[in-house]
Amino acid sequence: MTYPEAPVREAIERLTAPYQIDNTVEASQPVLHRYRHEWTPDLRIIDLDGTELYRWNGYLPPAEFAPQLIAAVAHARLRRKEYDQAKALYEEVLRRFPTALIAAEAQYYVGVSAYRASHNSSDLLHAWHELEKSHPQSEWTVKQNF
Amino acid sequence: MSEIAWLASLDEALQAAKDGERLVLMDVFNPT
Repeated sequence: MTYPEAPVREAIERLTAPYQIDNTVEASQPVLHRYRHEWTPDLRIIDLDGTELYRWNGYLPPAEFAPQLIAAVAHARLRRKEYDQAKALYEEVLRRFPTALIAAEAQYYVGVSAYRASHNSSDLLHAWHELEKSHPQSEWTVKQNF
Repeated sequence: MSEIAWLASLDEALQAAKDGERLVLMDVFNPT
């Protein structure tokens, strides 16, 4: 089980209002249809007006779930244009979970969120240079080439 | 060990998110 693990529970409670829904129950179907649910595990970050901001599918062990959740909330904050909050969460992923699967993506978006906040291209390029050094084989290193 | 206090409805979760400056995490699960 992933949820009883302390880092997972702490991240869920600190960053989210958690809502669980059983996809076998008839009463769940209107919400599942609204969000076009298809496959479990199915996790969404939802904005205050009900807009879906981020989603992922598939089981993750605790050591991957916690950084994935933090990055998911960071992506959601980025889409809300809360750039400083987003950057702080991406940096938390890198500081606490530097070997996580999501780490390269977090490093990519440290640059994006920093640039969006500052409008200074050196913030973007510095973060992406770090990405090249730390994750040379990552798809995110490919994506930062332009 | 404490358990996560999962909320029972989307409306309840949206209200809790507004009150706590958080966002909603929705976890769709299949118990079978």
